[in-house]
Amino acid sequence: MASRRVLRAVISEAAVVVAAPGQLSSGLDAEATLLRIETGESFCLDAVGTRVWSFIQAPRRVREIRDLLLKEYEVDAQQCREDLMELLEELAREGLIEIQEGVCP
Amino acid sequence: MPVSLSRSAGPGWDCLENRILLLCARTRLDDRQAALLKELLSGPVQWEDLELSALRHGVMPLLYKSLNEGSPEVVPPHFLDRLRGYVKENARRNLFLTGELLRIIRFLREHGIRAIAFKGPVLAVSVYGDLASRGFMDLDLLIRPEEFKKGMALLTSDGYRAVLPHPQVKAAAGFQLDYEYDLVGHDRRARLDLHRKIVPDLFCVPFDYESLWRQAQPIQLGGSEVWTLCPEDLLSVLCIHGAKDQWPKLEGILAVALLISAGDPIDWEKVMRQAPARGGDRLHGLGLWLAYDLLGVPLPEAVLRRIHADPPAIRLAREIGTNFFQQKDRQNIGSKLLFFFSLSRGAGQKMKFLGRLGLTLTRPTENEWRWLPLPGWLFPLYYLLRPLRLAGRYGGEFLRRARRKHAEGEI
Repeated sequence: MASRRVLRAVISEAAVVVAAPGQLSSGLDAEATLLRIETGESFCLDAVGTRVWSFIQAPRRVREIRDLLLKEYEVDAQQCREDLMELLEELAREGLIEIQEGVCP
Repeated sequence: MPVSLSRSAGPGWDCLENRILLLCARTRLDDRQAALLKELLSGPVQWEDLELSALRHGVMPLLYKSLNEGSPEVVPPHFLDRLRGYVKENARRNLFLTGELLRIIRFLREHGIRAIAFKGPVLAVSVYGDLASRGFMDLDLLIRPEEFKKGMALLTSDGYRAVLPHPQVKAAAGFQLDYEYDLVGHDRRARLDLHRKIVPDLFCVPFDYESLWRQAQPIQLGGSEVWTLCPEDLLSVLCIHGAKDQWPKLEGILAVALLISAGDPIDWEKVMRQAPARGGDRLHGLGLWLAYDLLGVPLPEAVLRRIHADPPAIRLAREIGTNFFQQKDRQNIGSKLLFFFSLSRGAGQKMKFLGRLGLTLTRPTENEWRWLPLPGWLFPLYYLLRPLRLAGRYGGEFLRRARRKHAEGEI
């Protein structure tokens, strides 16, 4: 049964993350909807989560994603880092992203 | 695509809500269009009418996108919220159906059956640019006629059920298979149209399927390879499907326009060369002229010259455009047959159409079986029952419409 969850956005800043294969996404506004094809589960991302999702369609280091968010949003650096880690950990738990520590993107 | 009222415009075209709809029925607005939208939205918009029109014409996702990106501050919040809710639900359904499409394709491929996906998610991704940009309620897969029975058996084993009498039941009663079968998944969440052909034999449209299979090409969808129609064949299929229902929706014309303006480059020489074996010149001219005249999509000069060389195609397009925003009933079979007769060009093609129509109409279908179920060995009786049933149901209406069209010089 597909479920919908609002994901909030853990892992080192040197880790490389990328969207995992086997999923679909769509979005006509700032909030994207994802589907894990294998399980049929769907997920909704808020505006910032959608932005992070767009960044990780190609492999990126976590610190690079953090820096991109700091450029786009007026947010405290520490808060940004914490929220980003929380989001990435959640995405990893759901199998939506792949994480590699200590590699070059 | 430029925004202007068309030469074919008729009643309803200058209504504020329909002008907003036409402007928003695109995947993105440029600065000029965004400014015009803001100007239109400052008028006395009947929001419920706009919503109904968007639903009727299948462009709700794009309406929401244009309003949300262009001028959200002038749109009533409750209206935008309602559109957002519809679009989110549409996105979830589309994603689910797309996942199901990929699963079915993989399943069929594992059993040696190649399928071509068209319309639905493939159209959304390749032409609209996002799975959520259009609404679709079912999936369309084309498989080869010689593999159809095997495909049906596989899908049945997978939990799919035919909505209408199963092909095996029909075959046992002596009937030929239809051009497509409407199947429903075991949990009724997915609906699949499994095609042997693109268009019903009833419409007597010439179609070269071998070259369509040869020209199919793969795309990537959700990390999987999906075979679909080449752009030129997709254009033909969109023109055929639009004509099949006499172009009732803006979404159908928009799909043609987006394929031409935003999709992969079209080989126009190939389109013109293939047109006689893909439904005919006039059918293509009609669909292309609608996209050109009503939505302003540019066409090559050679294509425009070819359309202009067939004035009935433009007359048919103008009749469709004139009545576009009026809810005329175009769904009765007599109206459809007369329309397809109008698409035949020249005395020779008209005679061929009438000949094919005669063969098709005399061949019994499942409607006779549902009217009077008989065992297979009595199948020949349906040849007598069929003309009686059709004459009773359609004869009068067809003759009335034919007389009117002849008086107006359209046939």
